[in-house]
Amino acid sequence: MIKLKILLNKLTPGDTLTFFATREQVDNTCAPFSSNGYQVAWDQEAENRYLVRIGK
Amino acid sequence: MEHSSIQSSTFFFSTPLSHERINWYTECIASGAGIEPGQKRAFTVFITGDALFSFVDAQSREAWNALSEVPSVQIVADGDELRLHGLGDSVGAASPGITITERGAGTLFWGQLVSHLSSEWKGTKKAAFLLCHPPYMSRIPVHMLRFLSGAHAAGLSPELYAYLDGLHNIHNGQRPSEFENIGRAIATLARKSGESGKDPWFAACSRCATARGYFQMNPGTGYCEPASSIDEMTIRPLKEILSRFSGYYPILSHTSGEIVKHAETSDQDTRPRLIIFITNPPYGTEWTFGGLSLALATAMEGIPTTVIFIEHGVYSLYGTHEVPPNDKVFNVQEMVAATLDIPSLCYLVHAPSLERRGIGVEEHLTGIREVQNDDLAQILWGQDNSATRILFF
Repeated sequence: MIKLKILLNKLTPGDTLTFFATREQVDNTCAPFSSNGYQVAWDQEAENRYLVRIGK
Repeated sequence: MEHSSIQSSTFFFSTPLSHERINWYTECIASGAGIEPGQKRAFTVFITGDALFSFVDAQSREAWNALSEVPSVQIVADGDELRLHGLGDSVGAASPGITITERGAGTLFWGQLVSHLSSEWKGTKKAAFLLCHPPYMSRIPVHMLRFLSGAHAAGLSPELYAYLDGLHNIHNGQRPSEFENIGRAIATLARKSGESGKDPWFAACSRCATARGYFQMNPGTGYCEPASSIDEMTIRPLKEILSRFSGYYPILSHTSGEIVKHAETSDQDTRPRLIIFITNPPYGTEWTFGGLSLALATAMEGIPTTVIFIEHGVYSLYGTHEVPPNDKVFNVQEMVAATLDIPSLCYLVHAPSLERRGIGVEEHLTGIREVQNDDLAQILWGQDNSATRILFF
Protein backbone atom coordinates (compact mmCIF):
# COMPACT_ATOMS: atom_id res chain seq x y z
CA MET A 1 0.00 0.00 0.00
CA ILE A 2 2.77 2.42 0.92
CA LYS A 3 4.64 1.67 -2.32
CA LEU A 4 1.50 2.48 -4.27
CA LYS A 5 0.91 5.70 -2.31
CA ILE A 6 4.46 6.89 -3.02
CA LEU A 7 4.01 6.17 -6.75
CA LEU A 8 0.64 7.96 -6.78
CA ASN A 9 2.17 11.04 -5.16
CA LYS A 10 4.60 11.25 -8.09
CA LEU A 11 1.78 11.24 -10.67
CA THR A 12 1.21 14.47 -12.54
CA PRO A 13 -2.42 15.72 -12.56
CA GLY A 14 -4.53 13.86 -15.14
CA ASP A 15 -2.14 10.91 -15.35
CA THR A 16 -3.11 7.38 -14.37
CA LEU A 17 -1.07 4.60 -12.84
CA THR A 18 -1.68 1.27 -14.62
CA PHE A 19 -0.43 -2.13 -13.42
CA PHE A 20 -1.36 -5.79 -13.01
CA ALA A 21 -2.47 -7.10 -9.63
CA THR A 22 -3.95 -10.22 -8.03
CA ARG A 23 -7.51 -10.27 -6.68
CA GLU A 24 -6.18 -9.98 -3.14
CA GLN A 25 -4.08 -6.95 -4.07
CA VAL A 26 -7.06 -5.32 -5.78
CA ASP A 27 -9.32 -5.81 -2.75
CA ASN A 28 -6.86 -4.99 -0.01
CA THR A 29 -4.34 -2.59 -1.49
CA CYS A 30 -5.96 -0.79 -4.43
CA ALA A 31 -9.66 -0.51 -3.49
CA PRO A 32 -9.08 1.50 -0.25
CA PHE A 33 -7.73 4.38 -2.36
CA SER A 34 -11.20 4.91 -3.83
CA SER A 35 -12.39 6.31 -0.48
CA ASN A 36 -9.32 8.53 -0.15
CA GLY A 37 -9.67 10.82 -3.14
CA TYR A 38 -8.54 8.51 -5.97
CA GLN A 39 -10.38 6.97 -8.91
CA VAL A 40 -9.76 3.23 -8.98
CA ALA A 41 -10.86 0.84 -11.75
CA TRP A 42 -9.85 -2.67 -12.78
CA ASP A 43 -10.55 -5.29 -15.45
CA GLN A 44 -10.01 -9.01 -15.09
CA GLU A 45 -7.43 -10.25 -17.60
CA ALA A 46 -7.02 -13.84 -16.38
CA GLU A 47 -7.98 -16.16 -13.49
CA ASN A 48 -6.11 -14.14 -10.84
CA ARG A 49 -4.76 -11.24 -12.85
CA TYR A 50 -6.37 -7.79 -12.99
CA LEU A 51 -5.38 -4.66 -14.88
CA VAL A 52 -5.73 -1.80 -12.38
CA ARG A 53 -5.91 1.91 -13.20
CA ILE A 54 -5.63 4.55 -10.47
CA GLY A 55 -5.75 8.30 -10.99
CA LYS A 56 -6.36 11.37 -8.83
CA MET B 1 -18.08 22.16 34.41
CA GLU B 2 -19.88 19.00 35.56
CA HIS B 3 -19.47 15.76 33.66
CA SER B 4 -21.53 12.62 34.12
CA SER B 5 -18.90 10.48 32.40
CA ILE B 6 -15.78 8.72 33.64
CA GLN B 7 -12.74 8.38 31.46
CA SER B 8 -10.77 5.24 32.30
CA SER B 9 -7.25 4.64 31.04
CA THR B 10 -5.46 1.32 31.22
CA PHE B 11 -1.81 0.81 30.31
CA PHE B 12 0.12 -2.41 30.01
CA PHE B 13 3.92 -2.64 30.07
CA SER B 14 5.89 -5.87 29.68
CA THR B 15 9.11 -4.80 27.95
CA PRO B 16 12.03 -2.88 29.52
CA LEU B 17 11.03 0.65 30.55
CA SER B 18 13.70 3.28 29.93
CA HIS B 19 14.09 6.27 32.25
CA GLU B 20 13.12 8.44 29.32
CA ARG B 21 9.81 6.60 28.87
CA ILE B 22 8.98 6.62 32.55
CA ASN B 23 9.69 10.35 32.70
CA TRP B 24 7.46 11.39 29.82
CA TYR B 25 4.80 8.83 30.66
CA THR B 26 4.46 9.81 34.33
CA GLU B 27 4.49 13.52 33.40
CA CYS B 28 1.74 12.91 30.87
CA ILE B 29 -0.41 11.00 33.38
CA ALA B 30 0.08 13.75 35.96
CA SER B 31 -0.95 16.36 33.34
CA GLY B 32 -3.84 14.16 32.21
CA ALA B 33 -5.14 13.84 35.75
CA GLY B 34 -5.30 17.63 35.94
CA ILE B 35 -7.11 18.33 32.66
CA GLU B 36 -10.64 19.65 33.32
CA PRO B 37 -10.87 19.00 37.07
CA GLY B 38 -14.63 18.30 36.73
CA GLN B 39 -13.98 15.30 34.47
CA LYS B 40 -13.56 12.08 36.44
CA ARG B 41 -10.53 10.11 35.31
CA ALA B 42 -9.06 6.81 36.47
CA PHE B 43 -5.65 5.46 35.44
CA THR B 44 -4.65 1.83 35.92
CA VAL B 45 -1.19 0.59 34.99
CA PHE B 46 -0.49 -3.17 34.73
CA ILE B 47 3.17 -4.13 34.75
CA THR B 48 4.83 -7.49 34.15
CA GLY B 49 7.97 -9.03 32.63
CA ASP B 50 11.09 -6.94 32.13
CA ALA B 51 9.17 -3.73 32.85
CA LEU B 52 9.16 -4.77 36.54
CA PHE B 53 12.83 -3.82 36.91
CA SER B 54 11.79 -0.17 36.71
CA PHE B 55 10.39 -0.54 40.27
CA VAL B 56 13.88 -1.14 41.70
CA ASP B 57 15.90 1.03 39.33
CA ALA B 58 17.14 4.02 41.33
CA GLN B 59 16.41 6.44 38.48
CA SER B 60 12.84 5.34 37.85
CA ARG B 61 11.36 4.00 41.11
CA GLU B 62 10.77 7.50 42.49
CA ALA B 63 8.67 8.36 39.45
CA TRP B 64 6.51 5.25 40.03
CA ASN B 65 6.19 5.99 43.74
CA ALA B 66 5.17 9.58 43.02
CA LEU B 67 2.64 8.42 40.45
CA SER B 68 1.20 5.81 42.83
CA GLU B 69 0.36 8.64 45.25
CA VAL B 70 -1.94 10.33 42.72
CA PRO B 71 -5.44 9.38 43.96
CA SER B 72 -6.80 8.48 40.52
CA VAL B 73 -3.86 6.17 39.69
CA GLN B 74 -3.58 2.48 40.52
CA ILE B 75 -0.45 0.50 39.65
CA VAL B 76 -0.70 -3.30 39.58
CA ALA B 77 2.45 -5.44 39.43
CA ASP B 78 2.50 -9.12 38.44
CA GLY B 79 3.43 -10.81 41.73
CA ASP B 80 4.41 -14.12 40.15
CA GLU B 81 6.77 -12.40 37.71
CA LEU B 82 8.16 -10.18 40.50
CA ARG B 83 9.08 -13.29 42.47
CA LEU B 84 10.49 -14.97 39.35
CA HIS B 85 12.78 -11.96 38.90
CA GLY B 86 13.74 -11.90 42.60
CA LEU B 87 12.01 -8.55 43.11
CA GLY B 88 9.07 -9.51 45.32
CA ASP B 89 10.45 -8.41 48.68
CA SER B 90 12.27 -5.29 47.51
CA VAL B 91 9.34 -3.87 45.54
CA GLY B 92 6.85 -4.72 48.30
CA ALA B 93 8.98 -2.88 50.88
CA ALA B 94 10.03 0.13 48.79
CA SER B 95 6.77 0.80 46.95
CA PRO B 96 3.82 0.52 49.35
CA GLY B 97 1.49 2.26 46.89
CA ILE B 98 1.86 -0.46 44.29
CA THR B 99 -0.59 -3.37 44.28
CA ILE B 100 1.17 -6.72 43.94
CA THR B 101 -0.95 -9.69 42.91
CA GLU B 102 -0.79 -12.79 45.13
CA ARG B 103 0.83 -16.09 44.17
CA GLY B 104 -1.37 -17.47 41.43
CA ALA B 105 0.50 -19.94 39.23
CA GLY B 106 0.87 -17.25 36.61
CA THR B 107 -2.84 -16.54 36.28
CA LEU B 108 -4.00 -14.06 38.97
CA PHE B 109 -2.43 -10.97 37.39
CA TRP B 110 -3.87 -11.89 34.00
CA GLY B 111 -7.30 -12.66 35.41
CA GLN B 112 -7.28 -9.26 37.09
CA LEU B 113 -6.21 -7.56 33.85
CA VAL B 114 -8.96 -9.31 31.85
CA SER B 115 -11.55 -8.52 34.49
CA HIS B 116 -10.46 -4.86 34.56
CA LEU B 117 -10.57 -4.52 30.76
CA SER B 118 -13.97 -6.27 30.60
CA SER B 119 -15.38 -3.75 33.03
CA GLU B 120 -13.88 -0.86 31.03
CA TRP B 121 -15.11 -2.05 27.63
CA LYS B 122 -18.65 -2.63 28.87
CA GLY B 123 -20.50 -5.41 27.11
CA THR B 124 -17.45 -6.71 25.27
CA LYS B 125 -17.59 -10.33 24.19
CA LYS B 126 -13.97 -10.61 23.13
CA ALA B 127 -10.40 -9.61 23.87
CA ALA B 128 -7.47 -9.50 21.47
CA PHE B 129 -3.68 -9.47 21.46
CA LEU B 130 -1.47 -7.98 18.72
CA LEU B 131 1.63 -10.20 18.82
CA CYS B 132 4.81 -8.78 17.28
CA HIS B 133 7.48 -10.87 19.09
CA PRO B 134 8.80 -14.34 18.19
CA PRO B 135 8.56 -17.34 20.54
CA TYR B 136 11.38 -18.47 22.86
CA MET B 137 13.69 -15.52 22.11
CA SER B 138 10.97 -13.41 23.72
CA ARG B 139 8.61 -14.09 26.65
CA ILE B 140 5.90 -11.88 25.15
CA PRO B 141 4.15 -14.88 23.48
CA VAL B 142 3.85 -16.43 26.99
CA HIS B 143 2.21 -13.21 28.18
CA MET B 144 -0.08 -13.31 25.14
CA LEU B 145 -1.15 -16.88 26.03
CA ARG B 146 -1.81 -15.98 29.66
CA PHE B 147 -3.88 -12.99 28.64
CA LEU B 148 -5.94 -14.82 26.01
CA SER B 149 -6.33 -17.87 28.28
CA GLY B 150 -7.59 -15.48 30.96
CA ALA B 151 -10.02 -14.01 28.43
CA HIS B 152 -11.23 -17.51 27.52
CA ALA B 153 -11.66 -18.40 31.21
CA ALA B 154 -13.72 -15.23 31.65
CA GLY B 155 -16.09 -16.32 28.88
CA LEU B 156 -14.70 -14.02 26.18
CA SER B 157 -13.75 -15.00 22.64
CA PRO B 158 -9.98 -14.67 22.22
CA GLU B 159 -8.51 -13.01 19.13
CA LEU B 160 -4.85 -13.15 18.11
CA TYR B 161 -3.23 -10.99 15.45
CA ALA B 162 0.32 -12.06 14.52
CA TYR B 163 2.35 -9.26 12.97
CA LEU B 164 6.06 -8.67 12.18
CA ASP B 165 8.19 -11.30 13.99
CA GLY B 166 5.06 -12.47 15.79
CA LEU B 167 4.58 -14.58 12.66
CA HIS B 168 7.13 -17.11 13.88
CA ASN B 169 4.66 -18.23 16.53
CA ILE B 170 2.58 -19.87 13.79
CA HIS B 171 5.36 -22.25 12.67
CA ASN B 172 4.19 -25.86 12.92
CA GLY B 173 6.27 -28.62 14.47
CA GLN B 174 7.62 -26.47 17.33
CA ARG B 175 9.31 -28.68 19.92
CA PRO B 176 11.07 -26.67 22.61
CA SER B 177 12.90 -28.83 25.16
CA GLU B 178 12.73 -26.33 28.03
CA PHE B 179 9.93 -23.88 27.29
CA GLU B 180 6.17 -23.91 26.92
CA ASN B 181 5.28 -24.95 23.36
CA ILE B 182 3.80 -21.74 21.99
CA GLY B 183 2.53 -23.16 18.68
CA ARG B 184 0.75 -26.03 20.43
CA ALA B 185 -0.69 -23.70 23.09
CA ILE B 186 -2.09 -21.35 20.43
CA ALA B 187 -3.68 -24.28 18.60
CA THR B 188 -5.13 -25.69 21.83
CA LEU B 189 -6.56 -22.34 22.88
CA ALA B 190 -8.18 -21.80 19.47
CA ARG B 191 -9.70 -25.29 19.57
CA LYS B 192 -10.91 -25.05 23.18
CA SER B 193 -12.48 -21.69 22.55
CA GLY B 194 -14.28 -22.90 19.44
CA GLU B 195 -15.49 -26.07 21.17
CA SER B 196 -16.94 -24.03 24.03
CA GLY B 197 -19.15 -22.12 21.64
CA LYS B 198 -17.03 -18.98 21.44
CA ASP B 199 -15.89 -17.35 18.24
CA PRO B 200 -12.06 -17.29 18.27
CA TRP B 201 -10.38 -15.33 15.50
CA PHE B 202 -6.67 -16.11 15.06
CA ALA B 203 -4.97 -14.47 12.11
CA ALA B 204 -1.51 -13.65 10.79
CA CYS B 205 -0.54 -10.79 8.44
CA SER B 206 -0.01 -12.08 4.88
CA ARG B 207 2.80 -9.62 4.05
CA CYS B 208 4.75 -10.64 7.14
CA ALA B 209 3.95 -14.32 6.49
CA THR B 210 5.15 -14.11 2.88
CA ALA B 211 8.39 -12.39 3.92
CA ARG B 212 9.10 -15.17 6.45
CA GLY B 213 8.17 -18.10 4.19
CA TYR B 214 4.85 -19.05 5.78
CA PHE B 215 2.78 -18.02 2.74
CA GLN B 216 4.06 -19.30 -0.59
CA MET B 217 2.90 -19.04 -4.20
CA ASN B 218 1.54 -22.25 -5.68
CA PRO B 219 2.67 -22.04 -9.34
CA GLY B 220 -0.13 -24.45 -10.33
CA THR B 221 -2.96 -22.24 -9.04
CA GLY B 222 -1.33 -18.81 -9.03
CA TYR B 223 -2.50 -18.28 -5.44
CA CYS B 224 -0.48 -18.09 -2.22
CA GLU B 225 -0.99 -20.88 0.31
CA PRO B 226 0.06 -21.38 3.93
CA ALA B 227 3.32 -23.27 4.34
CA SER B 228 4.68 -24.85 7.54
CA SER B 229 2.08 -23.09 9.65
CA ILE B 230 -0.37 -24.34 12.25
CA ASP B 231 -3.90 -24.85 10.94
CA GLU B 232 -5.54 -22.77 13.67
CA MET B 233 -3.98 -19.52 12.39
CA THR B 234 -5.41 -18.06 9.18
CA ILE B 235 -3.11 -15.95 7.03
CA ARG B 236 -4.95 -12.79 5.99
CA PRO B 237 -4.16 -9.39 4.46
CA LEU B 238 -3.34 -6.73 7.06
CA LYS B 239 -6.45 -4.83 5.94
CA GLU B 240 -8.68 -7.71 7.12
CA ILE B 241 -6.91 -7.89 10.47
CA LEU B 242 -7.21 -4.14 10.95
CA SER B 243 -10.91 -4.23 10.13
CA ARG B 244 -11.19 -5.85 13.60
CA PHE B 245 -9.88 -2.57 15.05
CA SER B 246 -13.28 -1.04 14.31
CA GLY B 247 -14.83 -3.16 17.06
CA TYR B 248 -15.47 -2.08 20.64
CA TYR B 249 -13.20 -4.39 22.64
CA PRO B 250 -9.70 -4.34 24.15
CA ILE B 251 -6.62 -5.09 22.05
CA LEU B 252 -3.50 -5.63 24.12
CA SER B 253 0.07 -5.69 22.84
CA HIS B 254 3.53 -5.92 24.47
CA THR B 255 3.24 -2.25 25.44
CA SER B 256 -0.14 -0.70 24.92
CA GLY B 257 -2.93 1.42 26.32
CA GLU B 258 -6.68 1.90 26.16
CA ILE B 259 -8.78 4.93 27.04
CA VAL B 260 -12.52 4.34 27.38
CA LYS B 261 -15.14 6.89 28.25
CA HIS B 262 -18.09 5.67 30.25
CA ALA B 263 -21.23 7.73 29.98
CA GLU B 264 -24.91 6.89 30.07
CA THR B 265 -25.05 7.89 26.45
CA SER B 266 -21.66 6.51 25.37
CA ASP B 267 -21.64 5.45 21.75
CA GLN B 268 -20.13 2.00 21.37
CA ASP B 269 -20.73 2.13 17.64
CA THR B 270 -18.06 4.78 17.20
CA ARG B 271 -14.82 3.25 16.00
CA PRO B 272 -12.00 3.64 18.54
CA ARG B 273 -9.29 6.00 17.33
CA LEU B 274 -5.72 4.73 17.23
CA ILE B 275 -2.56 6.36 18.57
CA ILE B 276 0.75 4.80 17.53
CA PHE B 277 4.03 5.66 19.23
CA ILE B 278 7.06 5.07 17.01
CA THR B 279 9.86 4.57 19.54
CA ASN B 280 12.62 2.80 17.60
CA PRO B 281 15.29 4.07 15.17
CA PRO B 282 14.15 3.86 11.54
CA TYR B 283 16.13 1.07 9.88
CA GLY B 284 17.77 -1.29 12.39
CA THR B 285 14.57 -3.29 12.93
CA GLU B 286 11.14 -3.61 11.28
CA TRP B 287 9.41 -1.73 14.11
CA THR B 288 9.21 1.66 12.38
CA PHE B 289 8.15 0.29 9.00
CA GLY B 290 5.64 -2.01 10.72
CA GLY B 291 4.17 0.81 12.79
CA LEU B 292 3.88 3.18 9.85
CA SER B 293 2.37 0.48 7.60
CA LEU B 294 -0.22 -0.34 10.23
CA ALA B 295 -1.01 3.35 10.74
CA LEU B 296 -1.45 3.92 7.01
CA ALA B 297 -3.72 0.89 6.66
CA THR B 298 -5.98 1.90 9.57
CA ALA B 299 -6.17 5.50 8.34
CA MET B 300 -7.08 4.32 4.84
CA GLU B 301 -9.93 2.39 6.50
CA GLY B 302 -11.16 5.70 7.92
CA ILE B 303 -10.05 5.02 11.51
CA PRO B 304 -8.68 8.29 12.96
CA THR B 305 -4.97 7.53 13.44
CA THR B 306 -2.25 9.60 15.08
CA VAL B 307 1.43 8.67 14.77
CA ILE B 308 3.78 10.15 17.36
CA PHE B 309 7.54 9.89 16.84
CA ILE B 310 9.05 9.66 20.31
CA GLU B 311 12.23 8.45 22.07
CA HIS B 312 14.60 6.96 19.42
CA GLY B 313 11.72 7.18 16.94
CA VAL B 314 12.54 10.86 16.37
CA TYR B 315 15.61 9.79 14.34
CA SER B 316 13.15 8.94 11.55
CA LEU B 317 12.66 12.69 11.06
CA TYR B 318 16.29 13.78 11.44
CA GLY B 319 18.66 14.45 8.50
CA THR B 320 17.94 13.55 4.90
CA HIS B 321 17.65 9.81 4.37
CA GLU B 322 19.04 8.45 1.09
CA VAL B 323 18.56 4.77 0.28
CA PRO B 324 21.63 3.46 -1.57
CA PRO B 325 20.99 1.88 -4.98
CA ASN B 326 20.48 -1.90 -4.62
CA ASP B 327 19.46 -1.54 -0.95
CA LYS B 328 15.89 -2.78 -0.77
CA VAL B 329 14.59 -0.79 2.18
CA PHE B 330 11.82 1.79 2.37
CA ASN B 331 12.88 5.39 2.88
CA VAL B 332 10.95 6.16 6.08
CA GLN B 333 10.95 9.89 5.35
CA GLU B 334 9.51 9.22 1.90
CA MET B 335 6.79 7.09 3.54
CA VAL B 336 5.88 9.94 5.88
CA ALA B 337 6.02 12.66 3.21
CA ALA B 338 3.87 10.61 0.81
CA THR B 339 1.13 10.10 3.39
CA LEU B 340 0.83 13.58 4.87
CA ASP B 341 -2.31 14.21 2.79
CA ILE B 342 -4.36 11.26 4.10
CA PRO B 343 -7.32 12.82 5.95
CA SER B 344 -7.52 10.30 8.83
CA LEU B 345 -3.77 10.27 9.46
CA CYS B 346 -1.92 12.80 11.63
CA TYR B 347 1.82 12.89 12.39
CA LEU B 348 3.35 14.46 15.51
CA VAL B 349 6.83 14.51 17.03
CA HIS B 350 7.70 14.61 20.74
CA ALA B 351 9.73 17.79 21.35
CA PRO B 352 11.41 16.58 24.60
CA SER B 353 12.76 13.54 22.71
CA LEU B 354 14.28 15.86 20.09
CA GLU B 355 15.71 18.17 22.75
CA ARG B 356 17.21 15.29 24.73
CA ARG B 357 19.10 14.20 21.60
CA GLY B 358 19.98 17.71 20.48
CA ILE B 359 18.40 17.24 17.06
CA GLY B 360 15.63 18.82 15.02
CA VAL B 361 13.20 17.73 12.33
CA GLU B 362 14.47 17.69 8.73
CA GLU B 363 13.42 20.79 6.80
CA HIS B 364 11.08 19.07 4.31
CA LEU B 365 9.18 17.47 7.21
CA THR B 366 8.75 20.55 9.35
CA GLY B 367 4.98 20.42 8.76
CA ILE B 368 4.93 17.75 11.45
CA ARG B 369 3.85 19.45 14.68
CA GLU B 370 6.09 19.24 17.74
CA VAL B 371 4.31 18.38 21.01
CA GLN B 372 5.33 18.75 24.65
CA ASN B 373 4.19 16.37 27.40
CA ASP B 374 1.20 18.52 28.33
CA ASP B 375 0.17 18.61 24.64
CA LEU B 376 0.44 14.85 24.61
CA ALA B 377 -1.81 14.65 27.66
CA GLN B 378 -4.36 16.86 25.84
CA ILE B 379 -4.19 14.59 22.77
CA LEU B 380 -4.70 11.49 24.92
CA TRP B 381 -7.28 12.72 27.40
CA GLY B 382 -8.51 16.15 26.37
CA GLN B 383 -10.53 15.03 23.36
CA ASP B 384 -14.07 13.77 23.20
CA ASN B 385 -13.51 10.23 21.95
CA SER B 386 -15.52 7.30 23.24
CA ALA B 387 -12.51 4.99 22.97
CA THR B 388 -8.82 5.15 22.08
CA ARG B 389 -6.27 2.42 21.47
CA ILE B 390 -2.56 3.07 22.00
CA LEU B 391 0.17 0.89 20.51
CA PHE B 392 3.95 1.15 20.78
CA PHE B 393 6.28 0.17 17.91
